[in-house]
Amino acid sequence: MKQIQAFFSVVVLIIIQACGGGSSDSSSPPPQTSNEWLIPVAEVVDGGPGKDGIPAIDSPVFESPIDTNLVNDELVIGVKIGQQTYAFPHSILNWHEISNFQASGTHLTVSYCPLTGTSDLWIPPANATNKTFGVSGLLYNSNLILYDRETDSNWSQMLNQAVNGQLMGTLAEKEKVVETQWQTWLAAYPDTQVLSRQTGFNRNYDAYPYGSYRTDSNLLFSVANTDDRLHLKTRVLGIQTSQLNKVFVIEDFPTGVNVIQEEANGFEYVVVGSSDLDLAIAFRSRLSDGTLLAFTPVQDNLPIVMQDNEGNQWNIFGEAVAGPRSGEQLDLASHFTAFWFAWVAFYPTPEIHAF
Amino acid sequence: MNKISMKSLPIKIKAGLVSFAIVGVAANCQQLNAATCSCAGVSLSDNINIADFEAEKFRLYVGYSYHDISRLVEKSRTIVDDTGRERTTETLGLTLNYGINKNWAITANINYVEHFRNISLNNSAGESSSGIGDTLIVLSYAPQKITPFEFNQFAFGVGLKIDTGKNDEGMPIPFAEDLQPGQGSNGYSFWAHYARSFSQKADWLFFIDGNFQSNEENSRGYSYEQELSIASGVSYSSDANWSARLALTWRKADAHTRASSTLPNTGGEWIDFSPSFSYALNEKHSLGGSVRIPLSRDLEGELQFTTKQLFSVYYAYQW
Repeated sequence: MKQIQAFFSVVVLIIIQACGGGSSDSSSPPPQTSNEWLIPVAEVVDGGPGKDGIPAIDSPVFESPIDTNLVNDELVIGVKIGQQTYAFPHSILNWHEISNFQASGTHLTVSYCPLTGTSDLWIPPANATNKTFGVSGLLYNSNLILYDRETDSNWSQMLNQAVNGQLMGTLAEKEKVVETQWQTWLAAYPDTQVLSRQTGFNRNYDAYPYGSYRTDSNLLFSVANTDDRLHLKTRVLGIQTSQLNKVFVIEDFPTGVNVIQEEANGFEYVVVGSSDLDLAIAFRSRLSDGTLLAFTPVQDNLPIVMQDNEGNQWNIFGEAVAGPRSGEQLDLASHFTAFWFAWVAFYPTPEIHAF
Repeated sequence: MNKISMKSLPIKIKAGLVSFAIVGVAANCQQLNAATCSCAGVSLSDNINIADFEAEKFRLYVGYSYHDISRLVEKSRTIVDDTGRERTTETLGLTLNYGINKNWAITANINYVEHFRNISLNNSAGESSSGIGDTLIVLSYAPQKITPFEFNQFAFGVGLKIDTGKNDEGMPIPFAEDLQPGQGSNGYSFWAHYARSFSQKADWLFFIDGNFQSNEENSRGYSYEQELSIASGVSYSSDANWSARLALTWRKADAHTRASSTLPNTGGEWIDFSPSFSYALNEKHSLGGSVRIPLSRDLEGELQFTTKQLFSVYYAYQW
């Protein structure tokens, strides 16, 4: 009996100790974060899979269009480095969100957040030894937070900035991306390379991992701001500068190539969009030499989409491919293609373009 | 300690020990698993057996379970996890049962839970959380129990899950719900139990257990929603103080929700095989253990992590 009492006493003591040990200091803070953030840390959430639980593609394989099985209306993220173009299908990046690759000797990172419908192309910090990014597993306004593997700093995709860690405050060096349907991209760049499904990971790329999310009215995580003027998952081109916060609904563009040239509070820009080509991009219309160009659309001649009053022809990457300014580039107007809810979460109460 | 021989004992004690062994094994309440998320197909109901009590007797179970939730499944198909994920839950649990009288009993269960997650793709040390889980209190009613003269047993129970668990591990950025010791919400449950013996000795039993649980939203709007499990099988009690139980368990869990929106890649159906074993040291002390062997599953969404292995051990003391 005494032995039983002693055993029971030990058990009780163990439990009491365990209860006392189950306190706030029983686990350390996530190793990848410091406690200082540029964004409200209360609005940063753990998405569930954990750091690298969604594995980035670090050794991408590219293939020719003839070797792919993409369907015509499947969305791809188009990238142009020098003369070489690459297509990153949503069907693959839905599962990986990041692909690190090299082109023309340059390290690059393509990111796509399936929850906000946003894509981006960054050049990693020049002085980094490890020039790759991974998926942190954290989200801000439902949007992907990347982490750089050199310093473990966390970067907000839609803010294009490191928001935590050693590089906090550093702006991402962006390159242009074009998001469009596969058939549009292939028509523009028939010699494109396409990210292969040979990613090194075991995923069913024919399946979409988030159920009805792309089209339903539900969010998986809360956001800072909401706006019910449009359906949550309406795809928009959003332009945001200090002078302007405006969206263009992609499906509202007329068919064919359309050019919209506007000025807002001294900010001059041109938007190229098409509902049937599923394409929308924005550039600054005043060049670095001060010239303000006037643009008109060019039909049925992809990748060329517009011509200016000087006789130059410009492609979907804002490159002059013919005319006296051949070789020059239009600067990007700060923009994203995104789901409506994601744009307003970051940039509330935008103007909606009326077609 | 001298080994007890059933043959040498007076019949009253034999009957008592037989009853103890029957309910103790048929219970399978020795699986003191995490009283927290029902992720990966582990039912919160495993901790409780509503027919396992004697009038005016206390029974205390102290148990440990280890749950490896690193099997990657696409609907029904196991696929190779190329992220090198480690995901485990260890639980130290206490269940205290008291027989109010021969028909009514009350049971309380609480656990200390430790979760761990790591992806080998990165070189971090992984993430862990620990703390007290939620508390389960069950009132059970057994109008009829197996005796040498009654071969059928029925019992019913109603339970409350009380939000006592720690739910903010990982601050300033709390871990996702499946990595928290507690669900952060209250809930309720219902139990039903039937067992039948085939002889006065009642060494062999057939049983069916059903459990339904419903969970509320936590402060982050997250809910584990509802789940239903049914277990059926046979148990055997030997004259040498050991007992064994073999059960097939079917479980269906709703997809989880956040702010009433269904979360993809949660919920599904599982079928597991659960053998367990117990040994009565004497009429007060017993030991036991169990494993859960996944047989099949059909999970919602496209990709989920689920049970790879689960085992538990316990010590029980009755007074």
